[in-house]
Amino acid sequence: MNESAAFSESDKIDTDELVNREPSAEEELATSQDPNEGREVVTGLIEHPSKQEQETAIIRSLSGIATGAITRQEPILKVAKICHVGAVRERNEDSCLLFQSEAGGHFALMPFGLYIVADGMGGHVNGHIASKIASRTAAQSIVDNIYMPLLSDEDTGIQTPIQEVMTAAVQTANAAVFRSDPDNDSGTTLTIALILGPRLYIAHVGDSRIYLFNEGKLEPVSTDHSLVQRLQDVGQMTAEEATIYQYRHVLLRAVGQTEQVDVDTYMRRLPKAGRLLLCSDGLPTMVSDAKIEEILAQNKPVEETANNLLQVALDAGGYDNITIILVDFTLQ
Amino acid sequence: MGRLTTRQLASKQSRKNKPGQRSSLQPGDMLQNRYRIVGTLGVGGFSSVYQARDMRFHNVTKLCAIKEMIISAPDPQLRELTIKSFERESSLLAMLDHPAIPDVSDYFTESDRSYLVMDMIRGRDLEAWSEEQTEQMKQETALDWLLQLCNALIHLHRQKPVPIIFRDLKPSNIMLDQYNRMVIIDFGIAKLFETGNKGTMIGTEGYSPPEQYRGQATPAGDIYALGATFHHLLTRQDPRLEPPFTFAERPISAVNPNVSPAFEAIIMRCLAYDPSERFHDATALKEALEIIDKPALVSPELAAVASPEAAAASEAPVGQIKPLWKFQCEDEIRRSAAISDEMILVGAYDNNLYALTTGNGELAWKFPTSGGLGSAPYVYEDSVYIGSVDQHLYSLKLQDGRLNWRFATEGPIYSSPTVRFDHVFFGSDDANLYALNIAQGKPIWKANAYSAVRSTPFVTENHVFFGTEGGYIYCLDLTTGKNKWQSQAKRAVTSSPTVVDDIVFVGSVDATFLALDASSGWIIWRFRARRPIISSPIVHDGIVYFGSSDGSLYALDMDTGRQLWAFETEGQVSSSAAIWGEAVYFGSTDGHVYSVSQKRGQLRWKFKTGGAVIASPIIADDVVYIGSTDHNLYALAV
Repeated sequence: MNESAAFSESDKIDTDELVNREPSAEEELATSQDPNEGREVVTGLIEHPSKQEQETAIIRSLSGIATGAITRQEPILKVAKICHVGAVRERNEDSCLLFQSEAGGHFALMPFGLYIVADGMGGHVNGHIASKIASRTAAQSIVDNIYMPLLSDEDTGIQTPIQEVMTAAVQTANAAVFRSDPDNDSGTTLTIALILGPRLYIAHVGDSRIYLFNEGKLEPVSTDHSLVQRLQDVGQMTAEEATIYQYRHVLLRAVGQTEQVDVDTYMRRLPKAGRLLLCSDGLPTMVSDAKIEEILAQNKPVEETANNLLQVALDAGGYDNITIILVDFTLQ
Repeated sequence: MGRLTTRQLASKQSRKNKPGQRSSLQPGDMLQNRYRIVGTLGVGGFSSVYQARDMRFHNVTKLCAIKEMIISAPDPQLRELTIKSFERESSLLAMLDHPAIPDVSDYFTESDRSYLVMDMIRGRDLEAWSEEQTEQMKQETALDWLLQLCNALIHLHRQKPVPIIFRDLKPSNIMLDQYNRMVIIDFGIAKLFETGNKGTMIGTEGYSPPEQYRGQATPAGDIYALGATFHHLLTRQDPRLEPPFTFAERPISAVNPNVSPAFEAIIMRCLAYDPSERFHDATALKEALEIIDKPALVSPELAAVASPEAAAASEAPVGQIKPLWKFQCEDEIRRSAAISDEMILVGAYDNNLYALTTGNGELAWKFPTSGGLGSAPYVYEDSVYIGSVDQHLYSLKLQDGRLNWRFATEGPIYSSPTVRFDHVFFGSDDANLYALNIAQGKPIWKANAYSAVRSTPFVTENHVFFGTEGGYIYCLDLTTGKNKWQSQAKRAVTSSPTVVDDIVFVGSVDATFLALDASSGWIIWRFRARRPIISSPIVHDGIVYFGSSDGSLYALDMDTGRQLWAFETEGQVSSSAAIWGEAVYFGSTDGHVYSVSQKRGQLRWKFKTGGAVIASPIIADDVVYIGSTDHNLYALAV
């Protein structure tokens, strides 16, 4: 039996909401009608083959097919994080948070990895507060609705569609930031990656980024909600022009600016092995995607790779805060 | 480095317009011993507009509008330059002579402020007008106003030596006067434009063309802003609240039924991202609008002028579809057919399984069961399998329809069998799911599902997935039939699940469509239709297609559950879809078989049968085979 959970922040996650959740009508029905309970294992209607015969029969006819074994593919996760003020700024307005857990033994848990980057808006007085509130509120919401049910003995599983939990986490964070500032002048980006078993779930607002690195190729997973990205989307600006454009910091969406926010969500299966990179724009505005790809391809350990990425961004000027969360994953 | 959202840019701009914030002139103040200030019309960052009375006409009240601009440059040389350019611009405006542009009668500079005196326009701006409306704007009104504004833009763009680009057209800069005339106001940022010049001005968020964000201003930019203005007026959807350049995502016709496709196409062409794809100037736009104004002209011709794409769309998409052949059974066909090399097999409620030749639909053989066939046949190697309401599952020789074996359950069979790994899997109304060896029809296992199983099981290498009338979705171990997980819907799951990329897709009578993790049963996402979902999903190219009793066929992104499009029919869509080439095929209880484009869900053709089409199509070699409750099986060319 081995269990491990890592929380990179000292803050305790409040789980009150979990306890207070009432079972829905369906949940009650589910327990009263458990198909396992009365499972009838074969009483053939024409013949009565013994259990052994049946299994031999099907194993024979299914020759060549892996029988019965649940080949659930689960990732081994290694992670490094950096949240650096950069070379120029006086205050770090980025926040990051990571939470990883696995449990071994007969009742092994699906590996769980939650990674969050929030970049408070620098033009605003409370950028650093906005990013903190957003990242922690979102983490709390996801831990309550996805992680805590996994730990629960009641085996009810995750009750809310995972994608809706992800969206709700961002909405909750948005409302918290919006309430925190009476002038509604605060704002932050919020980018969340959740690895749950072999799948990657993403919720995203703003211009922090998620990249997937697989078989030597770096692939952006998130889309920036920025003016420059939109101009590129409609073919009216090149990527090169975007790097020098004076309004390159203008966001089209941010958390905490309005009562509701549009959230991008994605879901995909993880490839067999690769790296997941979350970062604030302090990295990609300083370092080209090609360079990031090159550094990731060197295949150094995660900590070393993350440090190398930081160093390149600082060497290039480090004009902004730089946050990097790098996750190595290998599916077993 | 400062960072803002566009919303903040917008809110900062709107703050500027709040009157009374920083107006330096008070009612009663005099300018040039001639203009007595009566009130404030608007206040901006560096400029204000006042209402004043011209005292030279002391016997009558002649009102005028006075624009005040603050000269903020502290450097005397720069100050001088600012005043010079102001005077030059004022002279230029004074030279403009057009009914849609207010006359400039005077200009002067006092201490650190310059003033421009213009006609007072009585009326309200289009933003205020739009807010007052309770009904959708009429096309004829829009057309009339657009033509007037085109004339004004033509006048501006024709100025020599360089055209005047307005740069900031938007509803609040256009006045509707008491004679229903358009007047363009606030030339505050209308700047002399010299080709090739680059500025840094960002126009009003939402109305500005993409290239203006890079400092390029051309006549085509004013065309875009005009299109954006009328898109706003016609849809009553404020572009300042939407991501920039997303007009195409909000079709005018979706909210305003008064607008013809041709007129919408003209507005949308104004809004092309690429300036070269718009009307290159106001004259070209006016010409296109004038064609609409004369209804005698045929619409395709017009649409071609407006936009080649619209021309294609406006062509009647419904062709004359004639069946290649049809075969009449003695009762309704409610399930899909199956295809072998040379035969098509279909079950009918007349108890018979029919085997027809694919070429001409001639009967090869038929096999009578003792009950209606509400199950679709399944062809595997040289046999065909089908369940019957007579409670039996039949295995027949494909060649001549002779019985291989039959297997009795304790309830009618509506579930369609599926064969994998030399076993046939199917459900029965006796609440069991069965796995039979296909050679002898002997059960390997059966699993009690506690309520009728009418869905078709989906079998993967390790698991069997199916839904029940009791509202459960089950995942069983393939070899033992033991339960791995179950997930619950609120009502029956008659829809048959399909599994792609380890995601189980299935609909429920509770109107919800679910994507579940195949290994845990956890719901990844859900989508709500308006009515029950009985239709079974199919997945193709990352898109999942299914129908609903709400009348629509839906296309969703399989990873996010986001709706890509929905195609509405007049009836319920219980039929599952089939894909062939670029098109999706399905039936509706409105009696039609539909073919819609896979990409955008646009109608390609529809074919009317004599009854509701509940059955699903099956397609081979460019022929769609589908049954109807009018008792016929149709063969239609794709």
